[in-house]
Amino acid sequence: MTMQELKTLQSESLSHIGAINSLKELEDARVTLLGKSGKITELLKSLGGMDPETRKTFGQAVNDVKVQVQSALEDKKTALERAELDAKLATETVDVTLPATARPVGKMHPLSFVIEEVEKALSELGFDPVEGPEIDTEFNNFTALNIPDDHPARQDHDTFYFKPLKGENERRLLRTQTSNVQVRAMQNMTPPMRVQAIGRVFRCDSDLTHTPQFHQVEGLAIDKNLTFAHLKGVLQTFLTTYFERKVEIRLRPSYFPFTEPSTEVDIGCIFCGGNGCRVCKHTGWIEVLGAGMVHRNVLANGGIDHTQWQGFAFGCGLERLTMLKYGINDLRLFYDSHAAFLRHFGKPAARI
Amino acid sequence: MKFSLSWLKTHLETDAAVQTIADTLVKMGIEVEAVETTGGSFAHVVIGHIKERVPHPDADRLGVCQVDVGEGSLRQIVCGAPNARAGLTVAVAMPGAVLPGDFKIKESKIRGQESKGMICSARELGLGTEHDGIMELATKAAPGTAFADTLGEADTIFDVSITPNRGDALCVLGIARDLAAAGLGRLIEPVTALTFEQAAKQKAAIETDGCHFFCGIEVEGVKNGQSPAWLKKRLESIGLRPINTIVDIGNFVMFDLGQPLHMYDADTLKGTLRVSTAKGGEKLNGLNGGKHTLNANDITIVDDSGVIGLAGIVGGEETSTTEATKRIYIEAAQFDRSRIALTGQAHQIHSDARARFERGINPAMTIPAALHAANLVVELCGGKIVGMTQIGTAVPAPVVIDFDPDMVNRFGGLPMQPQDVKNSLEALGFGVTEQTGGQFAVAVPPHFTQMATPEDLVEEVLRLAGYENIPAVLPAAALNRKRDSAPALRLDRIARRQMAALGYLEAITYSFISEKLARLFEGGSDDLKLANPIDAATMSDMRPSLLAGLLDAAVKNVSRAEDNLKLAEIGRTHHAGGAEVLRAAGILFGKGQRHWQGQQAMPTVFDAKADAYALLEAYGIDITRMPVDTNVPGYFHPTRSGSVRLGKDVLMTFGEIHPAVTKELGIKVPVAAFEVNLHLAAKAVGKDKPFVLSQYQSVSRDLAFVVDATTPAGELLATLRNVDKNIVRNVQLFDVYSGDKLPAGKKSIAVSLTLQADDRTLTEADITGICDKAVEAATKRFNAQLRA
Repeated sequence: MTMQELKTLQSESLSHIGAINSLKELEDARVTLLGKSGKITELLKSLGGMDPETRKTFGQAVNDVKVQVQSALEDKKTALERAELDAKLATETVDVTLPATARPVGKMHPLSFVIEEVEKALSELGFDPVEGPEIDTEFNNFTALNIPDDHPARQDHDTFYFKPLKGENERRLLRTQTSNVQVRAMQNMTPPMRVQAIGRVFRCDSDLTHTPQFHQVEGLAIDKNLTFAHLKGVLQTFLTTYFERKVEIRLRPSYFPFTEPSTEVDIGCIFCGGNGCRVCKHTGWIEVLGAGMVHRNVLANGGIDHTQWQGFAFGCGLERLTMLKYGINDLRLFYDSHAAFLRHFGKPAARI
Repeated sequence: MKFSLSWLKTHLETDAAVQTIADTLVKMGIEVEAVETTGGSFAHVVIGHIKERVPHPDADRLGVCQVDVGEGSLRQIVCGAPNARAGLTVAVAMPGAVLPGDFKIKESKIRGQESKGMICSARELGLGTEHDGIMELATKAAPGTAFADTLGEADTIFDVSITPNRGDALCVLGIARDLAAAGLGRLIEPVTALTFEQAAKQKAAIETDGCHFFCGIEVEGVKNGQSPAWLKKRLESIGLRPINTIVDIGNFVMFDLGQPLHMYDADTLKGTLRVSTAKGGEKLNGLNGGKHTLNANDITIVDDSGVIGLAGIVGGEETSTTEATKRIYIEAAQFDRSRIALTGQAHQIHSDARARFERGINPAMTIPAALHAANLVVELCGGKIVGMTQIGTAVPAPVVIDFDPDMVNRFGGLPMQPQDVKNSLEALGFGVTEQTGGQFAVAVPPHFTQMATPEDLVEEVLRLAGYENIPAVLPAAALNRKRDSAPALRLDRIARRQMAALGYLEAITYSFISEKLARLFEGGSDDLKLANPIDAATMSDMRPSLLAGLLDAAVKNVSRAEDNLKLAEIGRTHHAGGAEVLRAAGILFGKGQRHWQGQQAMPTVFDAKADAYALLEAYGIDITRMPVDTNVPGYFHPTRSGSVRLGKDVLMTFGEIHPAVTKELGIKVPVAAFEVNLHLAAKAVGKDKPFVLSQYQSVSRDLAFVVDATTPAGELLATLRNVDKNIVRNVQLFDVYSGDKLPAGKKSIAVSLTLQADDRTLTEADITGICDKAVEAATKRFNAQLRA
């Protein structure tokens, strides 16, 4: 074969490959050119019979053709395979705007994440969580907290009592306040101490603004030198942390049997900025909790010497805190278990 | 308690503004619930009758009213109040009126509609805080009457809430005393002659330790009747209904000076009037209209006819004054706080007298109040005072408290000089004597009946100084923290988060349920029944299971077309003997959502099991290795439910709810559920194992066993796992078959064993050996045949 013929073979092969439209034809072309008895294979075989000089130049030329053809075959193969895949994928078209595979989205109850928020805010201030029972005795719920049975405060509590059992010498009740944890904590721990108790409490009252069950958080701190000023500092910080903004607080003298002095604590209305609106009844203030310095009788009931130790306690309804922070306007919704409410005000666990 | 500004001014010389008085009351610890102004001039404000209200054509919230203001023709007024409606009598501010806040009323067009005036709310007229709608007036005055003419003289009514420690503030004099101490004016003390030599003819005696002092004044020749206008107005201003002059005087003096009085028709009394103690069983027809049967130890007033009153709480009908009364006996006594409280509680009587006695009355005011009342009777009803009887000592020696003035700082957190502390206490009426060493001996004035400790004095000084002046100080960081003191708090947090992650909506249901539900869920024991449930039919028993409340929630949601849901609750259940158990429960209900990919399956026992297992795995419990039994409570489907135990105690139950239960509750869709005892879950948490990443290849081998159809697959899997715990890494069940290709009563269970060692590549001999042992164990335990 002459060099001219080799050139022709090369150009014919390359143009043939370029025109191929299927992998089958491409394979046929590969066999025809590069197979065991393919045209180019045969040419390479024929090199052995040539004189060294011709073999060197012609061999070089044949090899160049072989490389080019191989490369052309591979490029074509890649292109054809890709085209074939594209064609296949085109047949797999779906409407991606169809709804996704069904998967229910779970949400935590708003009170649940408020409990976590409150617990965290108080933990940051050094208050460690403790617990107490929901069913308790009159002693722990009232008497130990300096509310003897002839105390007018008892009737304010609308207590749920249990039917007395034979031989029962102390009435059992549903705790009306998380303060029932206080005396237990004092008996079980040694000061200095800072504890918080969060839980369900119960009062026999049901109307627009009362549910017979609600939640409270209780804080108790006992140390050598804690004063009313520290109570104020802790509440200011706690409420600011919880509401995630600077809140004004106002302390008003009040009365709780288990603290002396006692105070009710208002926050500046977070809806109107203190200018007066429906939520704050045009006063600019919203009452959020009660607090005070732990009464010496309560310390004594907890086995703590009031001449050595002093401290403060506070208690706060969590439904109210939740309603204020998250804009829920009907207390009863908390316990109605309506899916629509839980979806709207609940949060996925990942967002807590 | 209510009081009016004009009444207050009889005890307080002041020109303080209403707002200043209100703010000072709050600062002193007297909560102001409402301040309302009555009367006023109100030029150009007239009475109107709304004849018609139609919606505003261009504003959803507005209405167009036609109002009769006595002009002959109707006046059109646009009004946005939600309560505006035809038939109301209202206050109309006519063009030209200027309302508080310099709000000038003019004719205008509101969204294209003419409006010739404004219908007013209480707040717009400066008569109160109410602004949720327009005032609905009760007056019968004709349209066009000046609004001011329908009101009384201008006055301001304060409605305050008095805390139980402030018996001293349950009267106008006490309020005035606090305001005077706060610097708002000068206190005007009541002036009354303090003795009356002549003894009353009516005899009296104290036969109980429940009465510390008794004073009786007899007045004869009286003529009872309607009270004069000033007295009626006083009582009406604070919401009391005038009855007759004698009764009205008793009420007036109680609210004025704080001493409850009782007015007897002396001609109805038989023999000596005695303060006594009930034996139990006596009857009393109370002035409150109640018929009371007395308990032993009730504190009573008796005469020779028997019980004529519950002392300090309520008087009896037979001895009360009437229009015909000629001779009266005024009782002003000091009863024991505790006895009054217990007697009042027992009979559920809430009277103004009881409220004052159980909070402590000012003993220094007992005699002056009695005399003041007697003088008023003579002044208004004629007659003359016959005499006065006193038994006991009216004013006991003062309580003296040793007080270190530095305690205001050390305890109260407010730095204050001793002299300032002394001044504050004296302003409040305390007698302060300085002792050597800077200590004070502080004599408590008689009106503060509950003060006994230095902390009480700190509170007094602080409230006068103003709580707002106490600095806010953060305590130093807490040491010796006990972070692990409440692991249960973390237990419920894990459950809450995991349940939400598993697609559950978290509900919080009531801790009390109906007795029927309680019994259905294996509770309802006697010690968990409320004596005073808020609703005996639905909230009588403490819940033994969270599933009861969740099923109730399912009913509610299904009725709102929420019929494909997963609901969860985390909370405590209550059990006989007092145990409270923290649990997490979930229910899945519905017929399966319709979806373009195909309808979802109805929830089954295996959906509940999957979620229960996922929950327990969140605690780090290797739940798949724990055996399952089918001994479950009766509210579960008997053959499609199971439980997992920790020792004898049930850690978790799961399954489909018994169809009889769902039917009973009216749930028409299938329900699967599970409930986990989280206290037990905490105990089931395994120890952390060291981590080893094996360098050697793992292999898997499939085996199929033919066993009896009743053989529990879980037990077969456990047996296979236990063949060699070091090598058998996983046993995956991938097929269960029963049918034509097997003998009747048999099933085939196909599993894939994953085998791997930490220290070597398993040889073919190792693998065959394990497989042989697996087959041998299965054969031995379950009579299993290897399926060809």
